[in-house]
Amino acid sequence: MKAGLTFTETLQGHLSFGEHDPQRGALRGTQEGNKIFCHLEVNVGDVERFYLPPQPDNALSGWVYSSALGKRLPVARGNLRFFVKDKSATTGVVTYQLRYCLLLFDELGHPLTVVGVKTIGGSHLGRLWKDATTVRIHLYKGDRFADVAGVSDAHIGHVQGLETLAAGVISVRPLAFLRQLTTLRAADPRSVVRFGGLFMKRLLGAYALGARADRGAR
Amino acid sequence: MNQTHFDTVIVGSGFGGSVMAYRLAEAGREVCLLEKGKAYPPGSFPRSPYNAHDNFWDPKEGRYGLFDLWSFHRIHALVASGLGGGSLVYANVLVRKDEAWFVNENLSQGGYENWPVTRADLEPHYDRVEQVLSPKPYPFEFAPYSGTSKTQAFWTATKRAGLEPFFPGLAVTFANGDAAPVPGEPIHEAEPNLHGRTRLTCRLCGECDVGCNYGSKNTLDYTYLSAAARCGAELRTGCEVKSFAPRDVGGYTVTYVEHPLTAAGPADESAPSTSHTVTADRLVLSAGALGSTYLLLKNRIAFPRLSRRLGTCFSGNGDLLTFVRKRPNAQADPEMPAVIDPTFGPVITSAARVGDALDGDGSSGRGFYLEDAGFPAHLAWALQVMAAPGPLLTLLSQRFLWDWTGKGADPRLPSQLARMLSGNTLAGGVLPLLGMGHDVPDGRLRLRAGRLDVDWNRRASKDYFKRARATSQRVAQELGATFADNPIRYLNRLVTVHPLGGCPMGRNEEEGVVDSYGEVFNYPDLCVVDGAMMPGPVGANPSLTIAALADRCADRLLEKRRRG
Repeated sequence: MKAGLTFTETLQGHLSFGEHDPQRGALRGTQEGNKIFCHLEVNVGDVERFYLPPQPDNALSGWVYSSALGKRLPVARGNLRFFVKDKSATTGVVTYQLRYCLLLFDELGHPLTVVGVKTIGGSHLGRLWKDATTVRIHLYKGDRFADVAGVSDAHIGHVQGLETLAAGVISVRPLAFLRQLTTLRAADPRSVVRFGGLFMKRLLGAYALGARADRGAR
Repeated sequence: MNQTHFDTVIVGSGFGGSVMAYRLAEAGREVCLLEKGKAYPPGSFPRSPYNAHDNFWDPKEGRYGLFDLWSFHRIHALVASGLGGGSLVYANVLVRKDEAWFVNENLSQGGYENWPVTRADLEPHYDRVEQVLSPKPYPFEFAPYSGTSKTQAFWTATKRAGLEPFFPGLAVTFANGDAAPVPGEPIHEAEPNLHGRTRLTCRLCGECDVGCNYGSKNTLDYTYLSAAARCGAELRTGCEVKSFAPRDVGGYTVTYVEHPLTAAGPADESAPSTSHTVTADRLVLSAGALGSTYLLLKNRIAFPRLSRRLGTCFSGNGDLLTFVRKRPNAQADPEMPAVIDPTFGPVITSAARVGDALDGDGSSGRGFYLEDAGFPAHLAWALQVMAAPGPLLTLLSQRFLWDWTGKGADPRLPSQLARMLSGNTLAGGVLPLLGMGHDVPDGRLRLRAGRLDVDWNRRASKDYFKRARATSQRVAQELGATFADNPIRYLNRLVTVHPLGGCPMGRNEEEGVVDSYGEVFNYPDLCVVDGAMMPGPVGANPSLTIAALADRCADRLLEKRRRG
C-alpha cells in the first residue's frame, strides 16, 4: 500500500507584470509593491517513490493571493514534481529542480497558469538554504496546465503560443519554514521520517554531484 | 433577438465614448455603446433629499444613480454615471489646453509626462468638437445676466489681484440662434434629441453640477449621442461591462451585466441583473480614467502584452476647491456687489489664468486656472438652516413673550422673518473658487484585494497646491472677505472631479499604454479613448481636450479601415 503524506508550504515574494525574467520581475515588483503569497498544501502520494518520474500523484492545492490579481484565487489544479534532473546545455552543470505547476482562475474567470521552479545543486553547499527556499515563478496566460506540467526548463521555451504575463521570485521565510515542519501529516508516522530521510539524501546528493561536476570541470 | 456582433463596441458614454460613437456611426459603422448608468431626460434629475439618497452609483446596494464617488487613501474622486457621462454634471467650461502645457519630459530621467501630441495636432479637432457642443461666453452684457453677483465679485477681485479674468466658452444654450438671450425660452432644435423632449434656455438656477432639469446644457445626450442615435448607433443603458478578452479569430468578446433599471426612481428589485455577451471587431474603452483603467487592470490576465505603464500618470488635474466668505459687515465697496449669491447663474461663468514657467513670459512655478463656482439653491438652503437655530430662537422667544404679557406684538411678521434669513452670511456670501491646473502626474492606479486603489500623495505637487491656495487667498483679500479651505483638506485629502491618466499615451510601449490615437500597444483594434489616455494634467477643464482627442482617434480608426 502506498504511504501518503501532506504538508503546507507558505511562500511570498514579489512579481511584476510584463516582465519575463524572474530576478528583474522581483526587483521591479518590490519597487511597485506587487506582492504575491502562495499558500500551498502539498500532497505526496507515495513517500517511497515521490522523487521518481513520472510523479503523477504529487498534488498541490491551496490558494494564491496577489494584489495585482485581485482576491485570493483558489488553486484549481496543481502539481509538484521533486528533483527533476536538468543538465544545462551551455555549462553542462547538473542541477535538480522542484517544479510547481498551478492552474488558477481570476475573479472574472480568466484562466492563468503558474510555473514555479526551485533549482537545487550545481554549486557549493553554502547555497543550500537559499536554493531550497527560493522559487522563480512565471505566470502564463490561459489554461496551459497540460502543456507545461511535465515540461522542464530546457523545453518550456518550445511550448507553442505560451504568453508570459508576469515573472517574479517567491521564497519560504525562516519562520514559515519552521511552521511548515509542524504541518507534516501522515497516516503512519514512519512515513514522515522516511520522507525526511529521502528528501535530505536527494538534497545533499545534489550538491555532492555539483561538487563532483566542479571537480570534473577542473 | 438582440444583435450580438458589432463592428465597434464602445464602453462608456462620456466625452470620449460619445464622440467616437457619433463619428463611427456617421461613417456607417455598426456601433453599440454600453453605458452602465441611466438616461436622464429633462426633469429626471432628483432634487428632494429622499430621491437624492438613491442618486449614487452602488449596484451592490441596488442604487444606480448619477454620482459615482471613489474614496481613496489621499484623494476622493467624484464622477458621473449616466448617458452622457461627465457632461451631465460638469460646469460646461470648454477651454483648449494651453500650447505650452503639452509637456515633453524625459521619463527615464525623472520626468513625469511626455505628450505625443501637440496643440497644432488637436486644433482642427477642437474646432470640430466646438461646432457640435457650441460653447458661448456668458452673456454678461445683457440683463438679467449682468446681475450675476458672483461674476461681478470674481472679476473685480481677480483684477485687483493682478490677474486677467475672461469669459470661457460655456456649452450652455442661452439664446435661440442669434436672438437676444432670454432665460427659460423653448430651444428650437433642428432635429429632435434622443429624449424627444423640449429643452429650455438657461434659467440661471445654478444647478449645472447636479444635472440640468431644463435641458439647457448642451450635454452629450443632446448633442453627440442624439446624432449617433440618428445615424443608427445602438445605445444600451444600464449595461455595465465586467470583462473582455481577445478572440482567436480577431476582435474581442465583451461580457456585461444588465442592471434592472427603471426610467426614474429606484430600481426594480424583483428583476435581477442579467449577464450578456457581445462580440466586436473593435473595442473602445471610454469608461473614464478610473473606469477604463480599472477594467484593464481587472482583465489584465487576458492581455499579457499590455504595457507596464498601465496605471501610471494619474493626476487629479490639480483640482483645488476653496471658499471665499464675505464678511457680514464689510465696508461698502462701489465695485463690489453687496451680497454674493452663488446660486444665481450657471455654476461657472468666468475664469482667470495664472501663468506657468513653461509659458516663457516670466512666470514661474506651475500654472493654473481659477474659476468662480456656484452651487444650487437647495444647497444654499441647507447652509441657511445650519445657521438658523439662533435667529429662530430669538424670533420665537420674542413672540412668545409678547403673547404671554398680552401686549400687542409687532404684527409685521414678514420683516422679522426676512431678518432671520438675512442674518446669515453662509448662504448669501460664499463664493467657492475652483482651481485646476498643471500638477504633477505621479499617481499610480492599481488593484488591491480586487478593488481599485491610488498611490498618490501631494508631496510632488506641494508647491503647486501652495501657489493655487495663495492666489485664492489673495482673491479673498481683494474681496474684503475671509478665506476657507475645503473642510476635507484638514484630513489631508483632496477632492478631484477631473481624474486623469492610468492608460497614458506614449510613443512606444515603454512610455505609454496607448499610442497618440488611443490604440493599445500590442493589441490592435483595442482603444482607450477618455481621460485615462492623458499622460498628464490638461490644466484647464479637460472635457474639450478629451473630446478633441476622441475626434482625432475616430479619424484614424476610419482611415485605417479604409486602407485595410
